[in-house]
Amino acid sequence: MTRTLLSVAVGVPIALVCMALWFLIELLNLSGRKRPELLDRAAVVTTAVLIFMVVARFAEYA
Amino acid sequence: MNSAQLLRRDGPTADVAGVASLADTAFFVDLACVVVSLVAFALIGTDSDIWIRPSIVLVFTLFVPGWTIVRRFGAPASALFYIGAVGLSMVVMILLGESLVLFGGWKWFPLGLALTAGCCVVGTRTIGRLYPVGVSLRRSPWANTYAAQRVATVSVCAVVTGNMFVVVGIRLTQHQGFGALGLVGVLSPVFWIGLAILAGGLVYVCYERSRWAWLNVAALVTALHGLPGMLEPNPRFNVAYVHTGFVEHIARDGTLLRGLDARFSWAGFFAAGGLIQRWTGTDSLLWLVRYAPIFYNGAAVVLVALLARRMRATEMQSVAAAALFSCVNWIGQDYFAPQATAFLLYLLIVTVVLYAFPGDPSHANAWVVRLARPAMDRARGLRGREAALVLAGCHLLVVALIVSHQLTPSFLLTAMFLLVVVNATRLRAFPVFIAVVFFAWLSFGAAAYWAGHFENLTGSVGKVGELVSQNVGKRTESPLFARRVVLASRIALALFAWVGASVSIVLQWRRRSTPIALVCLLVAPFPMLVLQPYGGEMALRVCYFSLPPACILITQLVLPGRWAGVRRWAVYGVALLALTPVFVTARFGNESFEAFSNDDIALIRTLYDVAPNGSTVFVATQQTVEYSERVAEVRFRSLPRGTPAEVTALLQQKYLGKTRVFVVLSESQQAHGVVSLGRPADWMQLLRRGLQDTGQYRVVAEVGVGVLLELEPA
Repeated sequence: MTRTLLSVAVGVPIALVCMALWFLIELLNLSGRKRPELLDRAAVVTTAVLIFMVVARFAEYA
Repeated sequence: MNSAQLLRRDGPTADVAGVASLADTAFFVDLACVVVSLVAFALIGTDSDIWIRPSIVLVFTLFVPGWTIVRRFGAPASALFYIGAVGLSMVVMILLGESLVLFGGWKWFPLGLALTAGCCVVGTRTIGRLYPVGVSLRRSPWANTYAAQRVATVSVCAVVTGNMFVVVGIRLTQHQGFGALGLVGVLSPVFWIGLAILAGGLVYVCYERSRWAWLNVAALVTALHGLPGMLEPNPRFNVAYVHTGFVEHIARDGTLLRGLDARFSWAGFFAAGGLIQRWTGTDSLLWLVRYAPIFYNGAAVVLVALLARRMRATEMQSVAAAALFSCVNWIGQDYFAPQATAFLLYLLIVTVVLYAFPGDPSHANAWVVRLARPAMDRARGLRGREAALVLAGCHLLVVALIVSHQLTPSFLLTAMFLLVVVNATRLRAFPVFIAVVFFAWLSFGAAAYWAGHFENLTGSVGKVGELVSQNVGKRTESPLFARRVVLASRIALALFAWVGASVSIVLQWRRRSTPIALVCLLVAPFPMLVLQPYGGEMALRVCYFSLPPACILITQLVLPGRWAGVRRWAVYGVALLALTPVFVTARFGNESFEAFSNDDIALIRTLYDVAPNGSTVFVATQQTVEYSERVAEVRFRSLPRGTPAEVTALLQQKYLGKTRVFVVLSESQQAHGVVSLGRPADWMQLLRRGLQDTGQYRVVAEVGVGVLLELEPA
């Protein structure tokens, strides 16, 4: 179960979503528009999940 | 983006016709791209054997996709977008190659047709949109003045004459068998006269503030960095052969060998090379290796000049910084390798970010302003749709960079973080994006590299003593005086760059106009020194990445202000002349073992002719041609330590029966042992005699001092 949750099939979509969110944040910053709070929270949450997965994968497979 | 153009003239001779003439030539570039796309489509589709196919396809892959994209979105024809097109084309090739090898079943043929056809169609529509009523080429009125013609004549004469002397000098130089000093010990005096003419012509044309100086820079880059390619009988440097072997495997098989080598976990560069090899219809990319340094250094000097212009240098100061970079870039990471490509992408990202998304460091955090005393920067950069498009392009560049090289993303992350902290850029989330992609790829895409070897990745963190020893200590010791001269020249150039840059920073800090962005780029690579030795090569990488800002800072020191006088240019010229022999010593000091003679190549060809799949080849040192073909099928290993009898017994016990075992002892290994490892001059002959005295080897081939042995059953 742990290995399934830490697998590439789960991690890569989360990473892609995280990348897209940070790109959107940067885009809105440059345009000067106000960022929705939900966007910031989503970016922080997905980043936290990604960090957890990365650390857990290092611990599991290293 | 007008400030991005290396077109704006400075001084009394400035005119705007130069802008128009370059914009007009963009039509011919657009047209040429469409024609090249069409021809490449035909060549790939018919799998033609014509001699021009490799050149056409290479030009296509290195320029056309990126140019098609930037022109599709209406980018102007400026120097930044020309070099940006090269970078974007590399990104397209890397991402497409990596995607094909991971998910696409290596369908290189339909992709080749689709890409060439797409560029042809989009390019044609772009021409129709941009030039609905045709185009006329306006001639610059400046070009007609006597002064302009005189300077142009001097420039061309200096280049032609200098190149003649360089070529004659190369022909008069021995082509093989270099000593411990490398090339500097064998080059004909005629070569140095040629270099002096090139450097002198460059300084004169720069003093006259003519754009013809770029011709002189191009000649200097070719003479310095194309030297081994023009001199030596075979492509140099063993790692370049390894890389062509990796590319050949991917081109042929469409798979990655992650268990064989860590570089297959960051295979973007090799996958792109695989596509190029397939589309050019060649058996390997060895034909590129000889000329790769000219390409990488040529592109790098353009980016250094653009970066200098962004840092408020005049056009001639930017030319001077570019020429200086070509004379101090001794590090040798500009061969056919992911590092060289990643370095270009790094420079491109940093340059584009500073042009398109500038911030004002004088409005940074109060303690940063108080401490750093940054110069004011009122550049506006891009807004609106253009900003969004360029931002997307930068993010794609980052992704391509991260899937191609392990180390460069760390340098980029630090550099961008520092630029954000000092408000040199308006971007805020970009460093976070880089970190997310970097760690995601490391964790999910490169697990084959660190799984079971995590200690290798993190074991040296903070161990400064060990890191210094690996990076400096082991690389500066040698019993040979000539070898110590080579090593000292490298340290001298590195110190010249860092000390010169530091003096420049201090003087500008005292004037309360610190170029804070350059300072950030200069210091950004250094934290990696305490994290990873990278096999003893981290210091080299740190030096490499700190060179562009260092060269710009030194030029600002030597040629300050907008109109440098004749004395300043004379000092610059003398410095350039003094640096070139030091550069040749430092850069080509390893040539005794990094160059491969005809005997070396003949021996390896014989090895690959006789060794069946599954063979294991042992070498005394790794300075030989390895993994240039059948990467997965013929493995190379270092001979174990011990007496010849012990080594033979070990090989028979561990390998014989499972694999055929060969031992290759070549001329380049012999030179490496003597020059770099301090072994006696006859060490390889003694080793060979010792092995043959065991009676367990048969001689398969002998070429010069090299020998190919096969181990037979006891």
